This record gives sequence, structure tokens and C-alpha cells, in this order.
Amino acid sequence: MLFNSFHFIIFFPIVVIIYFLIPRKIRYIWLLLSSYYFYMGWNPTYALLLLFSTAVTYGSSLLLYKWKERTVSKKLIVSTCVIINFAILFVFKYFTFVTETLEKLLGMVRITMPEITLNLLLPVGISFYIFQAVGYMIDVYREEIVPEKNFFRYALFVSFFPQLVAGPIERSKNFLPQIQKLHTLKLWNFERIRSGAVIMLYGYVLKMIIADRAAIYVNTMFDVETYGSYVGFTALIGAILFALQIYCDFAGYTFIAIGAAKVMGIELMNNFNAPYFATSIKDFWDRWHISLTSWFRDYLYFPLGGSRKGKIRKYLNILIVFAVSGLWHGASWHYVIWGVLHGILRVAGEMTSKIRSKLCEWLHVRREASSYRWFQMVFTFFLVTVCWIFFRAESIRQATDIIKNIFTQPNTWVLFDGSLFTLGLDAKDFNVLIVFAGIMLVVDYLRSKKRQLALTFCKQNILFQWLVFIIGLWCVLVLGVYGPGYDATQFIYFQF
Amino acid sequence: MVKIGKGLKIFILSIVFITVLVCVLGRNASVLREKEGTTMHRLFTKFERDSLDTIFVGTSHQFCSISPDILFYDYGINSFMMASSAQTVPMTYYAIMEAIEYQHPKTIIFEALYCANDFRELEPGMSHMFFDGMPNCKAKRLALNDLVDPKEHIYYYFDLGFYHSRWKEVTEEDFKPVENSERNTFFSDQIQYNWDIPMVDKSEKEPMPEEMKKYLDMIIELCKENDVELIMYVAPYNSLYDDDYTRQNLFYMQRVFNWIEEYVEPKGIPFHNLFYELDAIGLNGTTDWMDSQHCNYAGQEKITRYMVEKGYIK
Repeated sequence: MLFNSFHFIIFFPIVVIIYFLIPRKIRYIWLLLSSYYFYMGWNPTYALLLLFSTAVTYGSSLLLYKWKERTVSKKLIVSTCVIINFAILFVFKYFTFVTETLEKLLGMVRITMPEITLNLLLPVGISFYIFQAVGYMIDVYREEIVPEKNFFRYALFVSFFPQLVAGPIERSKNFLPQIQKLHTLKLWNFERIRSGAVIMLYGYVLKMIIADRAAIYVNTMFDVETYGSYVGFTALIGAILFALQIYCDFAGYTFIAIGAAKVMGIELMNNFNAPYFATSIKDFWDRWHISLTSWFRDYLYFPLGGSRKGKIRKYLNILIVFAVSGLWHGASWHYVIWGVLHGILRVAGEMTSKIRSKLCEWLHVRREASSYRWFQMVFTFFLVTVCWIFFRAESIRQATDIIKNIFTQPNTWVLFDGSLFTLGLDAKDFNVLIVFAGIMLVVDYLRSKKRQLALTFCKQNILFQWLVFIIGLWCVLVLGVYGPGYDATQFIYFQF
Repeated sequence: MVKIGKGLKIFILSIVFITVLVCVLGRNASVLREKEGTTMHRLFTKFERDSLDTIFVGTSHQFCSISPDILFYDYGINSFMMASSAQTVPMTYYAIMEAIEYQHPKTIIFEALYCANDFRELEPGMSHMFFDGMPNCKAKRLALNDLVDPKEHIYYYFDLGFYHSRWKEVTEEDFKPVENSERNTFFSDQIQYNWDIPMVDKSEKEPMPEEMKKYLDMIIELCKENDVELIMYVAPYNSLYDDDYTRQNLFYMQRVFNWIEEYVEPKGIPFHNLFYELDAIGLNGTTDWMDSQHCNYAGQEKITRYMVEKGYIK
């Protein structure tokens, strides 16, 4: 079930109304049933996979707690549980990729591999819920939390529908206590409901007005058959629009998820903090997909040694984490390259830090000046956008071709002769994109300054709030990209 | 002063908010939607129940060829035009069902051009034009279930979802209501010279598409069950097309019309192929056509009066 489908628009209010009306003690059961119904909207069979992963981690966590004094047993249990979960992920997501890569490698030394195909559909959101479950397991192992004894509460932690298929990847320390206290929650808090609703509305604006509109141009420009004919500014604008699309798509989903959870009295973690205002690649990753970045930091980077084992090892750890992060996004080499590129830029940023400082000193560059910060932001955005080309392209070859075409075939005239309007978006569409991207940047800027926008909104007069809701809904329903002929551009992050 | 409880206050405010929202979106939808179909249904449902004698169904050829206004003001025949652009035979079947549900006319007059076209799948724009203004009646429910992909049904009840992208084309005209005659008479004073009528010998026949025949049989049965007289006819058109395929198709259609005439005769359904009565109608290529296929007002008047004088319309 997509958040921007009529199905969800009917599903969500029904779930909320019943949730508000039923006895407190069974609220979590209702949310669990709703979450499984939500997930089964894609493929009912794959709900069994979700259930299996849940049951394995639940059972293992209880065993871990029971044998908490036995170090060897603990290690064995946590390893087995993590391996089972990652094995599920491997079979469904990476098996074909690995066999194809092996086939190519062996082919280079003229060894033919027997053909093995599984023909499995990738379960929606598998990487998200597996990571959430594994994170929980490690937290129990580290004794940072006490395992949840109630299976249904734990199952809700893994499957809570707003964040089930595209995150945020919640932490047990934040999320489980909220589930445990659901029965004590005062649901009829209209300020909270309104602020949840306005966050959801903003998510729909990002997804339906900006992301899906930008997608029209992007899909034309990145088409594997015709991408070669788009060069210079035509291709550069395609890359910039993809940067806009992927952010608004993913952040849009996240805002809808956070807003929906808030309506039901649950606070999900923030997943974005104005990423395109970042002044370095490191800063970008502190702001982009925060729940995943922090997951990798806590459960991969630190166990690898983090920065405690010398500089070389630290750089290597960074590269490993980014390569794995690339692979997490998709079973294809262009995702790995995308991750590694970010890793290289991140390491290069650290390695050149002192040189850059000295260079600035020598050139009398005032690093505290706002113009310098803006320059850093633009330069970071440029680097991130170039990396996004590897993310969006179908292959490494296509990505390198596009980058070459951008920089070797200048065509400034397309900015003036109207040829940009032949890739699916006319001038009016571009105007809508510019206006709403501007709104998005203002909102991001205010959020980065720690302004509680939803809270501020709820403190305004009721007429103003109505006006915002009516104008927002009008914009989504009229300017949004949806309806017959619209191939529901799934939220990009669902596939991960 | 009367004190209102917090819960009641929130409830009242919510109702007011939803009302304002529905009004804004409703007005918005009425600006954005195509007006032809909604106007037809709006006008149709304004008539007092069971007050109409005759209802016309079919495609644009029907509404370009017949004027219910002339019929009413000059001959006292109380009729209504329920034809719409590219109305396929299945759609016609449901239009007749709606007509009978609301009016139970004495006569249904069906212009049979699309009987020769095997159009089961509806072009979404045309389909919306027909369905959008249709009242939520039995005919609409059955028609949607029969003709429209279930995934698309929602857009026939929430048509803003279909028309919303028209915001880029909105003009002053979209904000004004369409001024049609109360009987939905179409009027065009455009003139284009045409005289290339595709004719075949009356003995040449070709069966109509099987699926369309099924719906024609359903139309005949529906009229019979409800004791409504069904009259069929074919309005003339030109064949000014550059490509040979389309031209050949027009001759094919003529052969199908001859077949239908023979098919419906034993069922007691009158079928008037006006292609064979052109001279008697008095149509000419200089004054009577608005484009290569459709009559303008002058041609429409000639055909209407001819149909009455010959007793095809009573």
C-alpha cells in the first residue's frame, strides 16, 4: 500500500478512528494487525518472512537474556540470529547479484558456472525491518535494553506500518518504551493530532508535487536508450533534478511516516536535517538518512574499531562502511561505487583538512564569512549531485557517460531556447518545481535552526491553520502528480 | 451566554472545516472538468420525471444531425439529446438504462454509427466525458463495473483526480457555466465544404463486430422489457480522409449498416440509413457541414425536419 494511494487514504483514518476508540490495553494488538494488513497489501506471502524474522529475533533475544552470564552462549546466539537475518536478506536481495558477479569473474578465467536462478521478488522494505530487528538483537546482547517479553509488542516494534517499508530504522531504546506505554497514552490531544496531520501534508507536498514532477524529466534524461542525446546543461539539470527528486521522495515518505505515527501518539526519530545545507560530505551524512547512518556507526563502524586504531584503519573503516551502505541501497555495482565515492570524498575531506586550512590562511580567506559557508554548501551539493548520477544510472558505464556528457559538451543555449521543456516538463511545471523547491529550502533552513515548525503552526489562530490545510490540500490535489496514466512512482526507498 | 463544551466545539469546527474544504475542492473540480458530459446529465436530470417523449442516443453524429429544439418548438415533440462524443455501443446501452430509469420515454432513437466500430475499451477522456456528470444511479454502477477497470473507479466518483492536471490549460471559459439549450441541442455555425459521401451498394453486407452485436441485442431487449420503442438510423458523413485505410473503413461501415438493417428488421426495429436518402434530405456540400464528418446547424435542421416529415420521429 503506497502512502499516496487511495487505499491508504481510506486505510489510515479507519485505523486511527478504531485505535482511538478501542480499549487501551489492546491498542498495540490493533496496530499490529493494521501493520500486517498494510504490509500484505503488496504480497501476503512475504508477511510470513516478516513474521519469521520477528520470531527468530524475539526468541533469540529471550534466550540471550536468560543466558546473559554465559559469554560463549551469548555470542553463539547473537551470531546465529544475525546470520539468519542477513541470510534472508542475502537470498532475497543479493543472491542474483553475487552469482552474476561470480559468473563474470569466473568467465574471465574461462570457467563456466552452473546457472542458478531463484526468481524471487524483492520483499518491500526488507532491508529496513531486518536492520531494525538486528539492531534490537545487538542492543539486547550489549545489555543496553531488556528484551521485550510480549511477542505481539515486539512484533509491532518490527512491523509498525508507518515506518515498516522505508524507515526511519527505529532504535529499540526510543521505540519500544513508547509501545510499552501505549495503554497510558492520552490519545485525544488535538494539538498533537494537528501537528501530525500538517507534517503528513508537508510529506505529500514533497512527494507528489516536487519528487514525482522532477521524476518526469529525470526518467527521460536517464533513459537507457536515449541518455546519450542529452548533454551539457540538459544532463546537468537532470542530475540536479534527481538530487531534488530523491530527497523529496525519501523525505516526503519520512514526513508522512513521522506525521502518521505522531497522530497515533508515537514519536519516530528524525531522518533528515536539511542535507543540502551541508558544508562537507561528513556534514551531509550527519544530515541524510540519519537513522541508517547512525545504525552503521553503532553496529558496524564502532565494532570495526572506529577511529581508535589509528588513522589508516579509521579511513579503511570509513570506506568499508560506505561501501556496505552502497550495497545496502541496492544489489548492483553502481550502488557500491556510489557508496565508495562518498567514502573517498569523506576520507579526502579529512586528509586535506589541514592543507585546506593553511591554503585559506595563505589566501586570507575568511572562513567565518557566510559567503564561505555558501560556497561550501554549493560545492558539497555539486559533489553529492555528481555521486547521485551513479546512484540513479542503470550501470557504471551509463553514469560515466552522463558525467562525460555534462562536462565535455557545453550547450548553454538550452537554458534560453526552450529545449529543456521537451523532456516532459513544460515551463509551467518548471515554475511549480522552482516555487515548491524554494518552499522546501525555507522549511529545511528553519528546521536546521532547530525551529519546531509543527509546534509553531499549532500555536497559530485556527483560521490560519485552516488556510494552511486548505491551501496545502489544494496544492497536493491539483498540482500533485497522480491519477490515471500516472505510473505510481513508488517511493524510491521502498526497493531497499 | 451559552457555554459550549470543548468536545462539541471541536466537533463543530471540524464540520465547518470539512464543509469549507469540500466547497473549495468541489468548485475547483467544476472548473477543471470537461463540461460537455456534465452539462448533458445536469440538464437531463432537471426534467420532471417521465415527461420526455423521445430521447436520442449515440455519438457526435447524433447531436450534430438532430435538433431537439426544432422538434419541440416547431413540432411539439418533447425530446432530449443524450448522445455524447464517441459514445460506444456499450455506453449507449447504459445511457438508455439511465434514460429509462429517470424518464421512461416512449421512443429511443439510436444513431448507429459506432455499431460498426469494435470499441470495447473506452478512451479515458471520452469515458469521463460520459460518466462524470451521470447521477449515482443503477446505470452508472453497472456501467462502471462493466466497462471501466476497477482500479479507475475511484476517479469516476472523485473526478478531480482525473482532471487535476488540466490546471495548465485553464482559461476564462472554464470558470463559466456552459450555456446549452435545456434539451442539450448542439449548435454549430461553422462551414466547411465537403462532398465525398462514401456509398456502397445496398446489397453489400458485412456482419457487425460480435461484441457490439451482443450490446445491440441487450439494447433491443432493454427497450422491449420496458416497453420503449427503439428506432435506429445512420446519419450521413463524408469521407474526406487522406489515408486509404480510413477511407476503406468508411466503406466497411456502410456494409455493416446494411447488415444491421437486415438483422433488426425481423425484430421489428425500424432502421433508416440516411445515406440512401441524401437527395430527399437536400443536403449539400457548400452549406451543410461543419467539418469532414459532422453537419452544422443548416445540415442539422434539414435532417431533423426530414426525419419528422418522413415519420421517423413521431
